[in-house]
Amino acid sequence: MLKKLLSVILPTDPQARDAAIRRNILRDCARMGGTLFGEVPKGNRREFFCLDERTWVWHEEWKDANGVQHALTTRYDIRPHGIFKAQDGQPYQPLTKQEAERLYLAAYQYNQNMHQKFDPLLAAAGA
Amino acid sequence: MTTKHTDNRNGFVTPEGQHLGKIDAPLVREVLHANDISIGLLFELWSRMPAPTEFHPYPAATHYGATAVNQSVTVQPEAHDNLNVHPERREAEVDTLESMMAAPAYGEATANSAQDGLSFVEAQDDISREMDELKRDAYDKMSGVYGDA
Repeated sequence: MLKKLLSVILPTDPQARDAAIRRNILRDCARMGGTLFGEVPKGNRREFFCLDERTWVWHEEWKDANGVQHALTTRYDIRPHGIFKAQDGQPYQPLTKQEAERLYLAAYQYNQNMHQKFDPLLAAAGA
Repeated sequence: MTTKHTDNRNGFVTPEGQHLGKIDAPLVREVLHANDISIGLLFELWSRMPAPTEFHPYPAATHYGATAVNQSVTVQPEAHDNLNVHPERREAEVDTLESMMAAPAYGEATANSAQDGLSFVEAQDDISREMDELKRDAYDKMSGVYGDA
C-alpha cells in the first residue's frame, strides 16, 4: 500500500523522479530564502532561491489595500559581462553595484543557511 | 514542503514521503554545488564592477535600482513596499518555481535578452568559455571563504 502511494507521489521513471525531488529541494530552499529579509507579512508569499549556478529568483505575492492580489517575479542572470535582471517579461537590465552587492550578500547568507541545514544530513547519510 | 529531520540513519523524509537519504544525497549535493558556484560568480562580478558614480552605460537601469534585493540581508521590511512601487509591475504567474523551471535555458535567455533590447549578442561558445574562466577566477578568490572550494 505504501509502495503504491509513493509510486503515485514520485514518478518511477528515474529522470522524472530526480526532477521531482530536485523541485522539492528547491521549493524548500525557496521558502527558507524568503525569510532572509525579515518577516513575511501574513497572507504574502516571498521566495528567494538559486535556480542554478547562473540564475537567482525572487518572487513576491501580496494583496494591496483594495484586496487585489499582485505578484512580481525578478530573475537575476549571472553572465560573463555582469549581472542582469528581468522582471515579469520586461527587458533585462544590468544591476547597479549597490544592488549587486545586496544580491551577493543575500545569496551568501542563503548559501550559508543551506549548508547549515544540509551538510549534517549529508554527512549522516554517508554519501 | 517542509523537510522533517527524522532519522539520520535513514536520511530525512518530506511530508510527501520522499526519502532524501543516501540515495538522493547526490541531488542535494548538486543543488548545494550550484549554490557554491553561483556565490563565487556573484562575488567575482560584483567585485569587478566600477563604483556607482563611474557606471552609467544604461540610464534606464536607474528606474529599477531599488527593487527586490535592495536593503540589508538581515532586515528588509521595506522589500514589499519597494516591490509595490515598481512602476511597471504586473501580475505574474502564481507558481514561480514551476515557471522558472520551464524558463529558457541560459543560452536561450541570452538570445532573448538581445531581442529585449540589450546592446550585445554573444555566441554561445564564447559565453561558455568566458563563464569557465570566470568560474576559475571566482574559485581562486573565494578559496579564502570556502576553504578548499
